[in-house]
Parts: sequence; C-alpha cells; structure tokens
Amino acid sequence: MDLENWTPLTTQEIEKKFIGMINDYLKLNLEYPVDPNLSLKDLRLVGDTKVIEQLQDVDEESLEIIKKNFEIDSIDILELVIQIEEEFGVVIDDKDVATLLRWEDLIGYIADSQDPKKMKQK
Amino acid sequence: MKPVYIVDYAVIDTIGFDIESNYKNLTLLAKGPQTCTRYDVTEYPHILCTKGYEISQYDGRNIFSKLHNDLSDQLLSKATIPSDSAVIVSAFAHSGNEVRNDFDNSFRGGMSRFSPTKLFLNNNDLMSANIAKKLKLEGFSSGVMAACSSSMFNLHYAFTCIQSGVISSAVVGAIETPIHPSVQYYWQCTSAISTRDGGICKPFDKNRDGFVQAEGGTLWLICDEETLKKYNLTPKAKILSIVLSSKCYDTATMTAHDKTGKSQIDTINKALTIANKKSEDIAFFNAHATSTLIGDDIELDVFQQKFKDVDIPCVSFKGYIGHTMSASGMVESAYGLEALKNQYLHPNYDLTDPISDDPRLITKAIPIKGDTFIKASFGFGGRTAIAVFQTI
Repeated sequence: MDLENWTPLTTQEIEKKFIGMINDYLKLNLEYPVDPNLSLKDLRLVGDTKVIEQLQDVDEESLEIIKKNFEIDSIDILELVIQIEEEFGVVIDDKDVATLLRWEDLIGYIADSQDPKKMKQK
Repeated sequence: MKPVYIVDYAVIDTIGFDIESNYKNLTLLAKGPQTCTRYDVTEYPHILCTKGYEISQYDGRNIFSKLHNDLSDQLLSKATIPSDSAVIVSAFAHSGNEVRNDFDNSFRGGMSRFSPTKLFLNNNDLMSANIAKKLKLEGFSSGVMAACSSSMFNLHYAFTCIQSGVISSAVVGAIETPIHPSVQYYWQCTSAISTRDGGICKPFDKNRDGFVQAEGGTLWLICDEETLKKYNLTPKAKILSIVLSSKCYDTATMTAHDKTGKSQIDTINKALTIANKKSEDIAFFNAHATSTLIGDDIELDVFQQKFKDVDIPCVSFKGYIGHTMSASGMVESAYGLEALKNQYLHPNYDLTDPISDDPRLITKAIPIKGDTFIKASFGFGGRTAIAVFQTI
C-alpha cells in the first residue's frame, strides 16, 4: 500500500463499501443509503426480501416474534467488526462495540479512525 | 431387532464427485497418488488431493467446510432426509490445522479477537452440528472418535440407536482433509505413511512402504422400516451387522493389530453370526489394507485364517482413492455396495508383486455373485470394525 498517497475514504464511500461487505456476509440486498438511526441488529430485517415479505399482514405479536428471530446475532456482529477492522484499518475496543450498534455511530467511528497501516494487505 | 436400511450415500473422494460413475470407471480414472499443488510439498511428498478441490479456488482454510457442505447438498439431492434425523459424523486428521495456525498467530500476536465462524467451521466437534444446520435437522448431532475406524464406529452408533428405537433415521459419515504439512509431518512421525517416489499406495504388494493420505468423505442416510414407508424411500442396502472391538496390549500395540489375528477373527465371527451368514455367503472381503508393512501382513493373515477353505476375493480400494483416514471405512463400504450392484469387483490397484501367491488377492477385475460383503476397518489403538452389508 502506498502510504504517502493514501487518502481516507469519505463517509459515503465507507457506507457503500460496508453495505457491500454486509450483503456478501449476510447474503442480503441492502441498498444505499441506509437509515442512519438503524441498529446493526436490524440489518437483516431491512435487507432480506424474504423477511420483509413475512412482515406483511401479521399481527403485532407475530411481528415482534419475527423481528426477534431475524435479529443479527452476536456472532454476526463480531464477524462484521472483524471485517471492519481488516478492511478499514480500524481497531474497535470491545467496550466500544455496544455503543457502535447504530449505523450512523459506526460509520462515523470508522471515518474518524481509518489507519492505512492497520489495513489488511491484499 | 429392527432392520436398518441404507437409503443412499453421498461420496466425494480423490476419484471425483459421483460414486456411481466413479465405480464404473475406477480403473480408468484412478492414477494413484496425485501431486498436491496447494502447498510446497518438497518436504512432504506423500500426498493426494481431492480432484476438483485441488484446482478450484478453495484453499486449505475452507476446504473442510466446503467438503461437508457439498456432501450435504449431494445427499439432499438423492433422498428426502427426515427432519428428526440424528447427525453422527466425525473427522480426526482434517486440516483445520490451517485455521488453527492462524488462530495461534492471532493469539501470540496479541490480537483482541478472531473469527468465531472460522473456528466453528473448522472444529471437528461442531462438524455434525454444521451439517445438521445445513440440512435443517433436529435429531441429536455428535460423532465418535476411533482413529481410522471413526466412520464405522459412527455407523455402529447410529445402527444401534435405530435398532433400539432411540432414533428412526440418521445422517452418518466422516469427512477428512488431511493434506496439510503439519498433518503430513504428524503421520510421518508415526512411520505409517509412504515416503517412496512421492508416495505410493500398493496394498498387499511387497514394494509398499506406507499409506497415502487422501481428502474425501461420505454421508449416508440410514433409517428403520417405518421411516422408509413414511417418506416413501427406496433403500439401496441393509446393514446386517456391525461389530466393534479394540485390543492394543500383549499381542497388539497402539499401531499394530493383534498379531495372532484372534481378536480380529473373533470380531468377524460375531459379525457373521449376528448377520446370520456363513463365510460361503459372502461375495467378497473388502480389506482395510492401507499399504503399511505390518498392517497388510496382519490383515492378510487374518483373512487367510478365517476364510481358509472359502473362495472369497479380497480387495482393498485404497490404491485407487488413498487413505481417507476416519472416513475410509464408510467411503470404501460405499464402493463395496457399488461392486455388489454392478456385480463385478475391481482388483487391488497396482498389485504387481503380491505378498502372497493366494489367488484371492485379485489383480484383475472379476465378476461376483451374491448380495452380501464384509467390510473390515482397522484404526490405531486396536480399533476394529467389521460390518456385513447386503444390497436390496
């Protein structure tokens, strides 16, 4: 990697790249832009057309059960965090993970913390 | 006792991805040990890889999970798998070591985290759970460790669970990807594998010097009669008996089975008695014979003592497909079932200078009669499994 000529990714570029990573990993169809208030746990709900179909015409109680069942689990969150660290050269402290579950917070954190020296070499 | 049926089997090995055509073309397709191009093999010459995977994008880090994923797909395409089926599958020499090395480097490098998915997919304990997840099955998932006899011990476990009514169906097998330098090194240290000419596999031949490891695996769907009817399944074969024993003291060691042959013959006798078969009823004896110096000698002696006056051909399939380690027993049993189906038996591969002039160590393909054969499987630790299978 040419460190001298490296320029940080813009927020928009980070978002697009991250959406691609999530779609690959979770096999979803998330599209840009993503609601900044969205929680990472809800990504599958908004990115999976099959889940969305299930959400139609169901009562409130069933809706809650479906939402709960399709939340991204802690292992998936951890896998995404590992990919973020490798792709963007960011080191996310364990204690920060819980506070970065909101889309806007996470993208902002990545934008502020990019370090080319820590990026995965390809 | 409930009869136990083999509905179908998926097999992936060094010959290819379709056992039915593999068997028919065995002598044409097999070229003996294949050279691995995945690693620098100069220090680990005796290796054999699964065709298709070797030339694909799959490297050692994900070949293990890829293999059990593909086998699951293959079995699913062949048969309806009841959702309450148990999954009993194991591996003991697989190359999850590659991921293990990454994990160790991460640990020593003080990295704060490591991908749990990589760990889970390469954990042989969780392999049965991964397969259950893939096939959406809810029966228990587990696996038995018994060295190179592991798959046959798994089959015994499933067989007895079905016979006793604990379960009604099971996906059973073993999957092995041992082509990794550290795995090769491990087996070199046991003096069990071939180091001559880049690795040669010549069961029952005077010029043998050890086994040749191979990637591969198998998954079978087995069940009771009620399940056959309920799901309208047509079985390929029946497991008449499967008997286990282990002896590794006095006349046996950790790596060599009972030199007197008594322990192995007792196990064969029990298997025949339970199957209600006589030696004369057996179409052929499918040997474990791996091409090791001591193992093949002991096994041939067992065969000749037990079947002294009976004209039964004796064949090992390892010269064609290599030694799939924990999976070998069931992978080769599937080949045995194909032999019965096709009513001819391929010869021992590359057997040019046999250790005995016994003509039953066949060197040419022969027609076979009957519907029943014996499979012998021997693993380190004196592990012995003898099964009697019958086609339907």
